[in-house]
Amino acid sequence: METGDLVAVWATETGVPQKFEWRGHSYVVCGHPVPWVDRLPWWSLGQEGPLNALEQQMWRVSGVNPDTGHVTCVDLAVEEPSWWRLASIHE
Amino acid sequence: MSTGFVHLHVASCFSTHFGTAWPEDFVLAQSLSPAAALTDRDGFYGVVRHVRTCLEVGISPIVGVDLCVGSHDRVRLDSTRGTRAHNTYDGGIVGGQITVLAHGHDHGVGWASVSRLISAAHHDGVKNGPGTINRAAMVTPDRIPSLLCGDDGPCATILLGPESDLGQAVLASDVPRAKTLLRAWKSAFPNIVIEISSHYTQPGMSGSIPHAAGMFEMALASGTPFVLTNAVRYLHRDDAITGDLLDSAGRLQPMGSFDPQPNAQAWLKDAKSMRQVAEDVARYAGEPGLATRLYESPLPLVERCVVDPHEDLGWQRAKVPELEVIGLSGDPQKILDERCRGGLVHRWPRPNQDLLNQITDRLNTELRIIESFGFATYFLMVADVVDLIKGLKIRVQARGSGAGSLVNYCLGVSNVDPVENDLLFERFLGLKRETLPDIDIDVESARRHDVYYAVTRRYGSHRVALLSMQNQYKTRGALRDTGLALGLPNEKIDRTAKSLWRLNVSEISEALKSRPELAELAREVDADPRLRVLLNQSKRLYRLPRYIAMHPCGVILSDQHLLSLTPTQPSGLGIPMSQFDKDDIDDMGLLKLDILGVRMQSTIAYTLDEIERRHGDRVDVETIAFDDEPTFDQIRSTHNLGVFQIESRGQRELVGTMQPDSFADLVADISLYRPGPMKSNMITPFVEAKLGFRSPQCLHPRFRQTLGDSYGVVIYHEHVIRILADCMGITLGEADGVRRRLGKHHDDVEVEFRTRAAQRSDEHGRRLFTDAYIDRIWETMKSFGSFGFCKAHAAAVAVTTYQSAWLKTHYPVEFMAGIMEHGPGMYPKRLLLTEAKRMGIPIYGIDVNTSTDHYRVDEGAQGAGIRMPFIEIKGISGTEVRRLIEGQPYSSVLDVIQRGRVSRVTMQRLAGIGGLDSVSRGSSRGTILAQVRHLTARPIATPCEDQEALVDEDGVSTIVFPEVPDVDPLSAELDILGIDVSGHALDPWRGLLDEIGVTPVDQLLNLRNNSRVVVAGIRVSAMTSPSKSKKRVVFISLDDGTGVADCAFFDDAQHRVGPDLFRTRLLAVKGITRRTGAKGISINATEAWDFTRAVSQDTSHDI
Repeated sequence: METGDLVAVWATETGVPQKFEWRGHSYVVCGHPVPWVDRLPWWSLGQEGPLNALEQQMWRVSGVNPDTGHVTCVDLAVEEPSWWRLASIHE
Repeated sequence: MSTGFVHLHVASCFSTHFGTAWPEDFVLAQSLSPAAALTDRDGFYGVVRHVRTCLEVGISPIVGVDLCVGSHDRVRLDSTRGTRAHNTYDGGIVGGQITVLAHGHDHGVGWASVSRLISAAHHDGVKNGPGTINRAAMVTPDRIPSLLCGDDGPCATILLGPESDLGQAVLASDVPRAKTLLRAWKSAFPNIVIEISSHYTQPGMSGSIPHAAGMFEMALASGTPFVLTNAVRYLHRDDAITGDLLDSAGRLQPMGSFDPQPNAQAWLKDAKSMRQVAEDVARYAGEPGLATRLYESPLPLVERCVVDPHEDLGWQRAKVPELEVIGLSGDPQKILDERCRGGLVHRWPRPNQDLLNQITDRLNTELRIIESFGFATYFLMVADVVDLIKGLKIRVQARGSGAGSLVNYCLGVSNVDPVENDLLFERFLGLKRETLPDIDIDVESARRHDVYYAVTRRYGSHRVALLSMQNQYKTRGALRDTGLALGLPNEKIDRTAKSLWRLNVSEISEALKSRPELAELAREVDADPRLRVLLNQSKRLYRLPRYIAMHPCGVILSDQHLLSLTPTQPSGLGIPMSQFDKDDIDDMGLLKLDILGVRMQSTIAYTLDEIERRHGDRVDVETIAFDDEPTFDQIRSTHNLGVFQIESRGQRELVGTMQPDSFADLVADISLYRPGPMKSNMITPFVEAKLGFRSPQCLHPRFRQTLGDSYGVVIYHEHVIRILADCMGITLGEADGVRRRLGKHHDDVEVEFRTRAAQRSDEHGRRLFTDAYIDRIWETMKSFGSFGFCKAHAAAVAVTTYQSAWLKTHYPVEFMAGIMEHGPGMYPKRLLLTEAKRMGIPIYGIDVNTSTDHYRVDEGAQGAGIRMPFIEIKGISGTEVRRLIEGQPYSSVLDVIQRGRVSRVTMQRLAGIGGLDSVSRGSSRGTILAQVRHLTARPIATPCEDQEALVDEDGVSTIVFPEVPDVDPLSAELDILGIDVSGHALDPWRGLLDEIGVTPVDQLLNLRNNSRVVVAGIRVSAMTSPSKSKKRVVFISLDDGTGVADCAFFDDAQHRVGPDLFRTRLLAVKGITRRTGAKGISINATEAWDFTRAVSQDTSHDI
């Protein structure tokens, strides 16, 4: 399973991703990365106490593998500043 | 706090099942912004609060509305309704949502245009279009140009955002369509602004950054103005959860079964966050340099749309109907003066000189005060409405503080003599005020809607609207909807809601810990985390508006510009309903009448009608003297069931103790019977002083006369006003102002009071009040902030109490008929019947020939009594009642069946309660019932050749039914109160009968001929007829509730059964079936026995 993989990300000061490494491959971000916000369903997480809205910061990026020229479009979930998680792949 | 950024698209909790925050809270959060906007879905529900809070906080208000737009096609379909011309709009605006912002500082034209657009959307629109949940309104595109353009051009601005048809075309990347739509919009209306808004949804979805960027590019490319918003629906990010609960409640689906909000970005974002949005959108659109322009884009719109409450709305300025509407012209004050003087003469035909002076002085004072307020037209309007109601022959009187006004008394608006009862005008109209005083008008409950229609006809439908109210989530609803959202099982939610609904949500956790009756629920909550989540999260919904409804009595009466101020929507009564509620009326300067339907007024009217019908006179209950001793005897007896306001157990006790003997005592009783006075021991001193156990303790000798009507006890607001005025040396009007402040600010008031009271002196410079007296008086004043009662209101109520008691005393039969008919008060019908019997009033049961659809006074064997109406028969329909009445009189049971044409069940019930007794020539009820069952049974058994016709031409049964004692004599009251007559006497035995193997009668036909069978039932007939062999055959019919079984006992069977055959009522019969025709079956009996005795012997009777 590829989703859930940790991805190392290099981003600008304002958090815009510029380069990422995934499964040993490097990708340079091309095009316009799109910031978006996803949501975790609090109603099925069995939480108690004060609930919060549980959002997940995301980036949809297209990265080009400089060696192969292959472009991959992925959704990355922002977790740590430099380690993000692969959420989905779009062809 | 969002300083510097003005949000122009904001939905409050008045956007039903969408917004989560109160308008006030939104404004407070933006107190550092130059302006704050409110654009609720489908209406102006929250705008008055919004404007009020903006004024308080010092920022400028902007208002607008979020509406669904109808499609071109839908308009074509709707035009068949014939309400408007066919849409000739080219290009077509197809669906989607828009936000409309009203322009301001234009003498209210912008506000008016949006208000009328909203009304049109509610009155023209189709409910619940596809994809719209809980959207009650829809604006059709052709309305927009005409409604939103004034004489000077457009007076509003339309925002087309991501949810508009344009926005959806951009989302689909359908550029040609997007361009077409934009062109169409612009050619329809000049002020189109593209709304750029992103909630950072997933790319490809509506509201994503790419979507917003696409809108931005479109705006730039086409040269269309644009504005950045955040389409706000909650205050803080975490309030998104409340949004989820509302989304779930709106769809009646649990979370997880529909697409929820994509994230929690729809909060009132601060400047920093909005700047981020602007940058992200601009960058994605390839125009990073325009981020600042995008961020600042709201500003030009803000300038155009800021509303000036005073200039645009006439904030807090009274708006009353124009004098011409009621056919008057000239100076309203003069007209009022003349009418009052005419009324005075009518009320006091022969006053002595002293009284006349007193009344005239008082009248002049009131008229002067009214003139200084400029309220003459208001009084004339109210009087006009009252006259209108009287013209319809509907009983009417004002209650509340307005009943204390002599002007109102002279105009016939109130029925309480303010001079005689020592009432104060200043309690009604005291200190100068801008807003109109409230006036409550009681009318007959049964005719309340007639009043509404009459008022609308008189004043015109553009001056009248019904008041609305917002029903709020309370504990039960909050628990239910949260439980639904969480997907909890219904049964668990029900149980929890049932146990907790009486508590406030904030009290629940404490109550669970402490209350023993909740111990079981508390254990369940401990064990189930989902219940804990339920209890915690349901607090979010508490008090949020849930749905709008018609206010039960409020009617708005205004000048011809009403619909420019308030949007309206259908009420269900055919009269439009304002979107404003009672808290909004004052600030908008609107006149509100509370027209209360009071059942006792209907009762009194009905009683007077019955009196007239029976005795020929029209009693005028308004002119009876208030000192009728028999009436007071009646009241003192405490048998006051049916008397207005004094029929409760507690009142019985109070009246019993106090023994009222004057009208003033009644007024005091009504004022004292409240938790405050009862708890704080006001009643004891009153009663003791009245009954002479101790002399009245007066607060100060100066107040002896003032407190004379209450034996020295301070009870009324009017007392407090007079005392404060005298102690502080201020006017009565000022004193009423002080009284109102007593509740909240009594510390400040105390200082003023003491200072001024100490300064009051007589003509010799001596102090009027010693320190000791001042202390004593102050103590009393302090507590009366909360316990005092308005005497005028109590007096108005007491008038009705007295009138109802008088009628009960002097016309008891007619009065009790009225009580039964309109059922005012707290007691169920059963008790009212008991009371009537206690009073010696005969109650005549339902009779097919004399009953009607009302409780009527009827002459019967025991004199004048009350005839029960058909409507009391359980399950009878209106049509059946009508038919029965139309066919009267009947000559026989068969006649009733044939011409009354009611259902079988109704016939049986009618028979069961004796309704057919009078046409049955003395038969017993059981017999009649059997007859009815026979005659109405379908299919009717084909008679055999040797059987004669069941009935002759007169409908009299040819079969001699010997008298059968009635089964379980059901008393008249129980029958009539709708206990199910067809509950069968056999019911307690059904289990036993099943064990024995009894066959229900209606299943006999399923058996083969010559089957062995056991049937059982109540013997309804027993007869003998000679058989061909000249030996007697006994025919016994048994009714088991499913049918009647005919059993034949031949000689040997008769011997075997013995005397039981004729003695036993509940009989089981064993025998062999015999078909008597296609649908006929009877039983040749071999044995019979009383099954009620056979319990220990059933082995011998097994089949």
